[in-house]
Amino acid sequence: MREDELRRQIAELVADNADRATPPPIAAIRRRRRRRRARLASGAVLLIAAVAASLVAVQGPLRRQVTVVPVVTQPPRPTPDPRPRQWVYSKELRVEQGVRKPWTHEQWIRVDGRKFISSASNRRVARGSKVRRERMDWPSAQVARFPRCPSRPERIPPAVGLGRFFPNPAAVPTDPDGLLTAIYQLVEDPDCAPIPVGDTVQDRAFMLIEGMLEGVLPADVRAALYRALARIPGVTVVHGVTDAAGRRGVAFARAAAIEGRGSSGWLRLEIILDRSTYRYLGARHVVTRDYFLLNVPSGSKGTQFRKGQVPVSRAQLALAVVDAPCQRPGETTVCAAYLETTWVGG
Amino acid sequence: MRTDKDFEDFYQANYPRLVGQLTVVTGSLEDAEDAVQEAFARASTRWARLRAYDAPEAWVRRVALNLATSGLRRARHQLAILARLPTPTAEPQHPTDRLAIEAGLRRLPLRHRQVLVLHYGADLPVEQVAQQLRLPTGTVKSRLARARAALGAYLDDVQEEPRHARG
Repeated sequence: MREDELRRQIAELVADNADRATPPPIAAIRRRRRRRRARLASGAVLLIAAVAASLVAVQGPLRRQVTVVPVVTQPPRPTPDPRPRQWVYSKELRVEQGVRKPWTHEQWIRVDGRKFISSASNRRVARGSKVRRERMDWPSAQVARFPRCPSRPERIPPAVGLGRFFPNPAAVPTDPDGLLTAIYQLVEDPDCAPIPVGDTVQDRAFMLIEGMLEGVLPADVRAALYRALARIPGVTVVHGVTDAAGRRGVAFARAAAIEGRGSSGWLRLEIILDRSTYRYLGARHVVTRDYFLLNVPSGSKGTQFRKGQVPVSRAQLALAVVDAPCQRPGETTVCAAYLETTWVGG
Repeated sequence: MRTDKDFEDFYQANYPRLVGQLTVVTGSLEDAEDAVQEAFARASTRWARLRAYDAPEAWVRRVALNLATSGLRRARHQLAILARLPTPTAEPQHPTDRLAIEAGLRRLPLRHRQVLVLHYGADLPVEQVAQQLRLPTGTVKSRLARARAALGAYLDDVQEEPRHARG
């Protein structure tokens, strides 16, 4: 049968069937939803959760390759643009294998990226902090960071938005496909990529997006990143993942190298999101098969990793834009003492 | 509320077409309506987000296809029993060639029906079919080719049957 003839016949068949279909009243559709919800209360909770999480898993085992289909973006919420002299505050909890206690890390980076606070006293004062100031040379820091990259970042990037990673953020598309293409380009050369490890472009892109999600981003960019993640080959959805703070969420997971080349063969990175709000919660690395890693700086000749172990787990406890250096969100006080570093020459 | 009106318009405009497409995939109007209604029910609870999406109907179709497929899988073990029983049907009569096409489609595996309906019935380019079904473009192309060949072979057989009978 000729192709145009087949097209005509199938189209007619579809149209015929469509003619026979009368939409029931919309109220019936909504009632049906409620009825079905009650019915599904137990067994199919997972399926509903998958849909509710804006991710439809294609039928089949959840961990099959490319099972992630992000179908809905986050509702675009108006985000007030942070002003250049405000500060991005973040607080992270880390649990690391071989480190006895979980530890938290707070940091402040000025929105324009030119200053950061690296150590601070826990004591709070209303005003008059004791500030130790130091200056660091931007160009030489970049030489140290990208020793083999011919085009090191010349300008100090802002601490928020796409400009934190892209030299020309205005030229970066914010649709998922365009954004992913731009990310692939950014990490194409491992010597110049903002992510120093990862065996392939896809490895590095996955990890870079994880880093981007940790920061302050416009809602549409964040939504596009979620959809871009699902387009990276090998990304799957894992349900019921717990972050370092014990919060349960749903994760984008993919093989990803962290301990130098080749480690994507035995490690997986999970990007954990809140199940209902899709807020970024944290990330963790999981060992996917037994592996003996030689020469890690652990005092011995190597470390044995066992399948299922979690070498590093992080939880973002806070992310906010605040008005004053060393101020915590919702507080009017500031640190009694802190070290403030200013980049110069960039 | 404006959102409700939007959703109602969206629902009225897309329901028949989606049922039409799903009927060809599932081979049953009831199954298609069931899947499409459930997909719209799900869409209604997240419409505020969906309406900002490029093609909300693609979302509904995808969910409906998933539901229809999982429904088919569940139903498959029952089919062996049901196949032996005559199915009461009150469906309207179609011209003969239409019947042949329908019968031919029913004989195709589900994966072949899906690509045929999305490509020819919903008029989606191969790339979009691939996106909807989460398949590589090459797979969609090869499935389309196999589906066309199988359907063509079946229709040839049907037309040739009387000759063989005479011979």
